[in-house]
Amino acid sequence: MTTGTQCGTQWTNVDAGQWEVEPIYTFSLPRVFEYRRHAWVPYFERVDTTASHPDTWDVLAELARAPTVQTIVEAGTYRGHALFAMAESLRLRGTPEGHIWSADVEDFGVVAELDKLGLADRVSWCHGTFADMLPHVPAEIDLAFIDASQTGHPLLRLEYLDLVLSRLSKHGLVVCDDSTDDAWEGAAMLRARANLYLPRGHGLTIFQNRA
Amino acid sequence: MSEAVEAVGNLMSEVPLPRMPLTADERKADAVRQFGPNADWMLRMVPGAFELEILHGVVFPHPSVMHAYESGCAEPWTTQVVTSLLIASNERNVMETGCFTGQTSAWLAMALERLGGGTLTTVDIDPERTAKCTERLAGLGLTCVTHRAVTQDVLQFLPTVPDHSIGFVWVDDNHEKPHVEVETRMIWEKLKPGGLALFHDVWGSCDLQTVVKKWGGIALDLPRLGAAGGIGILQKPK
Repeated sequence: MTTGTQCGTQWTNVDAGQWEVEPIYTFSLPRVFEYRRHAWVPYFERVDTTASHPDTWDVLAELARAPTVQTIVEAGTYRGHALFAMAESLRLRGTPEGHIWSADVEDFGVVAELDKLGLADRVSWCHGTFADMLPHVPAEIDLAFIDASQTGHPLLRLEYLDLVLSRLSKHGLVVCDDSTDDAWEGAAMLRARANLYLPRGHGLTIFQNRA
Repeated sequence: MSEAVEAVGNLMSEVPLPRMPLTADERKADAVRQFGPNADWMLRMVPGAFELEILHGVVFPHPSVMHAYESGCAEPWTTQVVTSLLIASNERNVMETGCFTGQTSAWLAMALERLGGGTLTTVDIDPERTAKCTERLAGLGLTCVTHRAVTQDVLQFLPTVPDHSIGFVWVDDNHEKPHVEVETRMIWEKLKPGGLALFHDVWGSCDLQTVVKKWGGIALDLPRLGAAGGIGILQKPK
């Protein structure tokens, strides 16, 4: 019954518990990538667990499919897996509407990959902080994914959440990653404020303005 | 460290999936592939739907739910959103109110199978629907999902459910607002802390998003095939 691509391999345990690389996921290719499986599989052969969880990419792709979602922002591009999921979801709508603004202080070469995948026109990438990028986003935000590195800034995501909520469209959504108990000290505060908390993977909190 | 890595079963069907269709004819052919004899009906119901290309991006979890859409079913993309949220919630005790042809039931069951097992209780007042749903789920080859079909009015069945026991509910029976308001109050008592209730057709003619938001939930507007669509989501606090 199931023959989908099994991406990733088992961890590489080279010597008595020493990991050769960061741990990687073993997972099924998220559904949004199925239509261009041949193009996407290479990007998912080895995904380290610093990236958001594969089931998170699935949720983001589904949230991005709504035609009312036109403007998406992302804090923390990293290697682009969540960005790929949302951009491919926009592409699958088949209409030119829908654009993503994504920011990261570190460049992992995502722009070149987006170009190869025919998704460059769907994304504006900012080499800098999310706070720097946000004023340049020209419209109300329909979907936001906050997954910025918080090293040295434990409440950074809460700050970004408040920034986004002030720019959110009437029925817009904000999704924050790493909302599980022990991930970071702001997680409990996120969960207390959220409309929804989905614990699988690193844990997602989802927000919508109450209006 | 190991908690972050999960070896999960694969949800994808064996049916080869096409590349993304590029032309209008290809898109129409793809709709026929997905919806079979219902494609023409959908064209009539949604003029320009294929031009709007809202039907794409659905990956069916089992061949039996392809060519299966009927008027009254949840839209396939809606069902895909629902199962994504079920998987992300990691809940294993699932209830569905109003199973109709069992199409969404099949999606929910396959999502539970992917999660590694669980229980799906489908409730419908119509014995023919209950039987059809049971037959459909029996054909899925489920290995670790228990299906319980109940033929009863939902409002009569819910009081028999233990309080704080349900992890995830898909509410898709009577969409009249007074009914849903009563149903929501009853479901709230049965949800376990952290449990989710998802409601179909909250946007459009049914206007159930006001009910969902009254309980602190959120509403997603998704492409519609009729006068109503979208989903509402509410969660019982921990």
